[in-house]
Amino acid sequence: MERDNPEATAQNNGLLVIALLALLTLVEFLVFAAIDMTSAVILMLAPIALAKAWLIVTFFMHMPRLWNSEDHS
Amino acid sequence: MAAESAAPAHTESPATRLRMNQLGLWLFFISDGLLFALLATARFYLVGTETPDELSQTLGLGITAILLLSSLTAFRAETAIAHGNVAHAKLMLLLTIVLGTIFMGGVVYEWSIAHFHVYEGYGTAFFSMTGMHATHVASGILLLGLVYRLASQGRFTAQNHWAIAAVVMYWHFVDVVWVFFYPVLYLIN
Repeated sequence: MERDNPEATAQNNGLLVIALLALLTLVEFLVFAAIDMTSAVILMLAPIALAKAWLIVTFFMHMPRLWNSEDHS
Repeated sequence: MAAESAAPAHTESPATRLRMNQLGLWLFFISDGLLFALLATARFYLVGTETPDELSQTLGLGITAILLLSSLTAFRAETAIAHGNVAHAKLMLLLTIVLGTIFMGGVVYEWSIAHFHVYEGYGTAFFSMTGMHATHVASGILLLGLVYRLASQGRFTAQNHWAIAAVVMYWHFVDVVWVFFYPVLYLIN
């Protein structure tokens, strides 16, 4: 059914991305709560923050469209 | 007459204009992002990794969740208008405004209960970073309100909705900034 409804498919993709973002945020908080060593916390939080930013930039801000010739808006 | 006929025609296709608009917006994000990166760097320069214990972690996590949720509603608004669903787009724009306002309220509350002062190292970093970010959130709320009003007047269609797409992208940019500010301000200790 969803293949016939591109809006519903796109909206569901958004839900998937936000679920991943929520999960990564929870992991960030758990790292903060569980680990005492500052350098280890930074080493773990940096890639998580980068992954979250990548998710938003790629799926919410549509950065790949900059080099995609298709007209989306 | 001859001069008029010899003048080059500066007509771009809508697709080319859209790509130029998108590129211009991304250049703005990069330049603005550098400003935020400098503020984050200043935090480490001023106080290293020190973070006050009195900082409310619950509030920090709560406002982070609200801002992330507002990114979803903004995304849904853009997706809806791209498929011609104006009513859903308007509802999602309104929800984004509400969530953005709640986030702002959370930040202001954090300022009011903060045990550190602006003339201390961490206070300088905290108030500068959250202040600059809150300014962007406030301008984002104003822009969302503007496109909501225009949408109510029937100005946007599935084929023509660049204003909504641009404002939503700006909102996501504000979210990306917080993705880095949240651990830098709250979680590194």
